[in-house]
Amino acid sequence: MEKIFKVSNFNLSYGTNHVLKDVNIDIYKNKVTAFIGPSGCGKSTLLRCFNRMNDLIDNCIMVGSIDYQGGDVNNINAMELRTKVGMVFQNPNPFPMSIYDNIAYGPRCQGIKSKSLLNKIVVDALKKAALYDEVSGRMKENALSLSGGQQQRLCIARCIAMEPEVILMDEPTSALDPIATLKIEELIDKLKEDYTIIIVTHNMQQAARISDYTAFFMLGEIVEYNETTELFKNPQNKKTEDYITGRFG
Amino acid sequence: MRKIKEILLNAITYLFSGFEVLVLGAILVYIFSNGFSSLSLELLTGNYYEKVETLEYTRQETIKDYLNPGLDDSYFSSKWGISFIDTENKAGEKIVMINYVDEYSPLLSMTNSSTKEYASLVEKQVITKVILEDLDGNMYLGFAKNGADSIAEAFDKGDIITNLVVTTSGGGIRGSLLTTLYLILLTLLIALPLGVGAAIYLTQYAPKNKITSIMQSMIDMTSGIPSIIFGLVGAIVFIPFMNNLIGSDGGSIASGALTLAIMLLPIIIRTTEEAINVIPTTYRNASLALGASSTQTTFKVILPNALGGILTSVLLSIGRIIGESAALIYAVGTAIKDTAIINQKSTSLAVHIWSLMSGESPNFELSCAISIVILVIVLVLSIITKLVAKKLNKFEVE
Repeated sequence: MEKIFKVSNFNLSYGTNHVLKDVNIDIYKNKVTAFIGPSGCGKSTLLRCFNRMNDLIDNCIMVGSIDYQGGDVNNINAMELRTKVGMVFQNPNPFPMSIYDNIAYGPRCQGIKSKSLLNKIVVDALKKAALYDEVSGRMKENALSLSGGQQQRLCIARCIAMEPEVILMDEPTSALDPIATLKIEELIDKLKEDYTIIIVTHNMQQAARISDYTAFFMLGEIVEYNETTELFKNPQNKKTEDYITGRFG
Repeated sequence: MRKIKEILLNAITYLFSGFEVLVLGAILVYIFSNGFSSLSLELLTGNYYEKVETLEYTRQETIKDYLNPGLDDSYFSSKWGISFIDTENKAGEKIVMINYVDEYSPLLSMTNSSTKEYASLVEKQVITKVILEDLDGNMYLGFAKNGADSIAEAFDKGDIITNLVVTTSGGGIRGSLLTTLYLILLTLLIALPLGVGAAIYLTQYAPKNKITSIMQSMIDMTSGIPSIIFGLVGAIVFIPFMNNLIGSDGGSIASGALTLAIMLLPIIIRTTEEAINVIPTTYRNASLALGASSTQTTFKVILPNALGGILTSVLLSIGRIIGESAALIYAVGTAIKDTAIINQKSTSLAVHIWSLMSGESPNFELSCAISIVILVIVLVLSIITKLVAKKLNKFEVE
């Protein structure tokens, strides 16, 4: 199976706080990989390493390598990397502009000016994010007027408009109600045909429902990484078993 | 016992706040009672300086009787269709003022003796002296010190006006109003790009180290410097600079605008910084995660959302410019002008008041009238500021 990310002997610390310890993990292409684990275990931190968002944090020291399709991410221009590796955040964060402008924002930053091309990109992205039917008549409306779930799907559409290869999702449903969450999960299931998805979640049922692979993190280490069905059925490690059966965490 | 104490404390707070309201009210009442009567459109558009002109009228062709409008206390010359009244000027001197000119009067088409240009007598002009001749060459003289009746009499006897000294009324503030406007425009043109740029640098790009924090505290300090010191800087640095650059002689509106720009930078930087800092960092992250550069993020996401704060800073700055006097006394000068020219001395409204009050005979009425103008502008600005802030500062309450 084709690997899109290869993390080897990766260590990260914020100042003196050692957050990730000797992490080794391979991410497979066109699969959904879920990161689970208790709060503060470093799963979100590792996610942000894939598109170098940690570069923005002062005092962040990284040792080891993360390869993206065979090349070290640090050798790729960060802006270029982020067009290939998109990200959806925990809280829906559309820009305070129109729905259309939100989605056209990324392509415009890449220098696309042609109106017809932008229209096509926006419509395609909205269709792929299963939002087109809901907003087709009100593209000029402010994105903040949408509901929370719609806003999050708009953020996913905004990400898709960049034609990325990987979509990173940092607890994308933790601020949403169960119905909106269900819609996002259905969307993820559909999107994995075209994209590689890495999702951080606190919700173990969610990981079990939507992911192909699951990594269990604890205290900055990957305790166990396996196919999701295997990990949930026959956890190899005692800690994993305790966590997924709800004995702690 | 406790009740008495509470009543006492409450009484003291009521007393003090009541006192403050009373003082503010008294100031307003004083300014309005003194200045309101001088307030008019002429005040805003008129010249400050009186202009003395000598006019003549060679020969009246058709003599006819003009209808007396019958104004109170007036003396009418039916031969010329003009009416005069005895009155006093602001300095309390007796003057003779024109209070009516017939619409067909020949006095509407006179000649300026020195420039030979067309001139006409209008209402509210002040006449000091008139010499007329009749067709036989007899001279008739009328002087203002002898009263309006003597002037009307001289007019009725003569047929040719050989010498008429007339004064147009002064006391307008057009020059200072224009200068204030110029100062606002020029100052903002200089200070706004500098201030917004500095704020962007400090919030978006500056490393969080000692140098940055020293810069921050220096900006805060600058806003506490008395404005007269800025005026001094303007006089020492900007006046020679502008003299060399645009060939001004001494203080000028340009050097004043530079001085004010430096003075206003801290306000603009601080207000813009605050506006940028309340923008959620998630916007910035979202933009960067979409592959936008930090410059694109700044200009497409950060600045549009900070617009409310920037506008607020503009309005605050305009308020400061209108109210500023000390800095401008040195940097622009105190010579009241009737026009505003960028490379010449002039006065803003506030300095106009200073000039009026620092002479030998302070002019309270005009000063109070200008104060009302300033107060009204500031009031309007503060209302606009509140409305704009309400409309554009989306992130204030979150």
